[in-house]
Amino acid sequence: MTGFDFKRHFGTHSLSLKLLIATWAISSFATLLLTAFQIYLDYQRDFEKLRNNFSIIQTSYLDSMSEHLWSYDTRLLKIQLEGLSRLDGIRYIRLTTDQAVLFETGSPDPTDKNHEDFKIVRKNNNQVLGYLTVEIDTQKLNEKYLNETLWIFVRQAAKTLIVVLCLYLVFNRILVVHIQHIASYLRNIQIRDKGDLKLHRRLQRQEDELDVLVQSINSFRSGLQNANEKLESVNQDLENKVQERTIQLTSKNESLEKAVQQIRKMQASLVNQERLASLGSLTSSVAHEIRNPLNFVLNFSELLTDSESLEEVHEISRVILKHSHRIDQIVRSMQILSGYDNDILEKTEINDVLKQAYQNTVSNRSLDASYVPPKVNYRLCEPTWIPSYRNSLVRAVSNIIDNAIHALEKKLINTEGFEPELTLSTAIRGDFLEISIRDNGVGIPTLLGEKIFDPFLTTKSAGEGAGLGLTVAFNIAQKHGGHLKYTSEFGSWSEFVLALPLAHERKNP
Amino acid sequence: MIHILIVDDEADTHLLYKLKLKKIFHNVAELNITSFLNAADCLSYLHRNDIPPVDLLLSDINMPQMDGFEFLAEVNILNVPFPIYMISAYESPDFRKRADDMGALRFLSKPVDFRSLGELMKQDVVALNK
Repeated sequence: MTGFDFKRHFGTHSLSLKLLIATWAISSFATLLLTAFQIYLDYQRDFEKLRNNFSIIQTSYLDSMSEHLWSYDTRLLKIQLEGLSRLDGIRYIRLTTDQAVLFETGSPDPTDKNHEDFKIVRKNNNQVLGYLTVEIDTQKLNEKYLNETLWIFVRQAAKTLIVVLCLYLVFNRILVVHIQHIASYLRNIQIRDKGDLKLHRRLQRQEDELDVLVQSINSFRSGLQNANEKLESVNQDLENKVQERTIQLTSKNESLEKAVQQIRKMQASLVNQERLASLGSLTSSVAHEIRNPLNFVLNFSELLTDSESLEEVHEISRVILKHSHRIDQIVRSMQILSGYDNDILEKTEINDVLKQAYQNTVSNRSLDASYVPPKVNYRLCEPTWIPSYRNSLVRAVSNIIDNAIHALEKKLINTEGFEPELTLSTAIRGDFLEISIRDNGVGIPTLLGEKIFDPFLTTKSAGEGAGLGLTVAFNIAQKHGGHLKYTSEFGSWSEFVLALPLAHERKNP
Repeated sequence: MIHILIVDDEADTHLLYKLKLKKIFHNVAELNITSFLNAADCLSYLHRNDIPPVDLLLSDINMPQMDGFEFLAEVNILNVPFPIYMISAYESPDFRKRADDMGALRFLSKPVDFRSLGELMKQDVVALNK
């Protein structure tokens, strides 16, 4: 920065330029005002000096002129008037007596108002002897002052310009350069930089505002740097902590995973144990269930071999057949429960299934001459096709309906005037189709809860059922990816709901 | 005349016992078989005074309402003089032991081997009667 390259610096250094213009304007205005005032005063003084000529003429010349005119001494008059004309600023003098011009010198200016007419009077009798007309020359004065004013203004302007330029340079040198330096320092500052801001100037004896500014900036910067360092260290700490936690979490995750695996193993072994245990209890239950009818089949058939009465043979055969059926039913149920049935998944209309299940139940009961309710209420939804194991499903629903009819039968025996009601309905709820079987029979004791789905739990008399109906139905519902639930009020009603997913998800039980 | 009480919730059992026992004791003794579908009925029968003396009680174990063991406990209270056979489809050592502990003379499992039952009855009842 040289300070001399005006063009460049005026463009960018608006501060200098502003100062330049302001200084120049203020100084010019002040100079103008003061100079004008000074000139005006000078002019007034000079003008008064000129006017003073009139009073000089009045006091010093008129009396002697009157004497000379009375004596008509033209020579002396002429000398006197010439002397008068030589007075400073007298432009025109004319002496007239009785219309005749006695003396005239200079040229008159009719526009100029600065003239005076003096009467030349004889002192003794106040006789007017003549008239003296005197004009003073203000034009010269005006010209002189005009020139002077112009000259003063030119001079002052030049002086001001020089002063202002000097000021500009000085201002640039002592302030703007440093401000620019500070600005560029601040612009290029990096928070990590350690370098303090330093001004390129001689050491000051006393601190000035720039030093204070620099100090402030430096302390601000170092404060910022400290804060930044702190922030960075906090960040680092945080990062470390995060890393630490991540490691901890990872190890915890690993141990959790191990634990989960262990639990899975334990679960698997538990499941196996449970399976074995339930297999044990299941086989013993199955054995018991089969032994009962087998007892009849074996012993009755033995009786049959040497029976003599035809009637007895008939009766015994009937009993054998009945109990053989029982065994068959049990074996079939076990097959369904074990999943080794040969049902295939196919699109099935569910309302059809419900109707068929009811018909199957009724016809089965009719075979044994069991109770059949006089009517059934259907509340069916629109025909809906769902992929399902049709035979299993019919069997499941049939089992539930059979239980419902049994509940009605039991209540009918014990309650007078009882009107049995059996309602079979289908409805779509969310992603499920629900088959509901509701009866107003004896209901299910709350005590039983979910146990009613356990195998070999039966409320029927011996020989009427093995207690597998609901177990089978439950398993079939699960096989379809659905579920079987019930609600009941003991003594009043029961309702079983078999829900099937509208879209089949599970293929294998 | 041998008086036998039979308690079983399956009616077909009654027929079976009747036919089988009749055959076994065909040339041995005359039989009087009284059958009950539940234990409670049998208990109230035992409480009666006008019944012929009982020689043997055969009871099932798995029955609705009162089961065989509950029934046995009730009968024990009556301090009856005749032997009691418990018959169950549950062939379990636990059942066998319980029956034994509660004073049942024999525990038989289903399917019933009537040949051995006949032998036992002859041994326990007919021999005593003679």
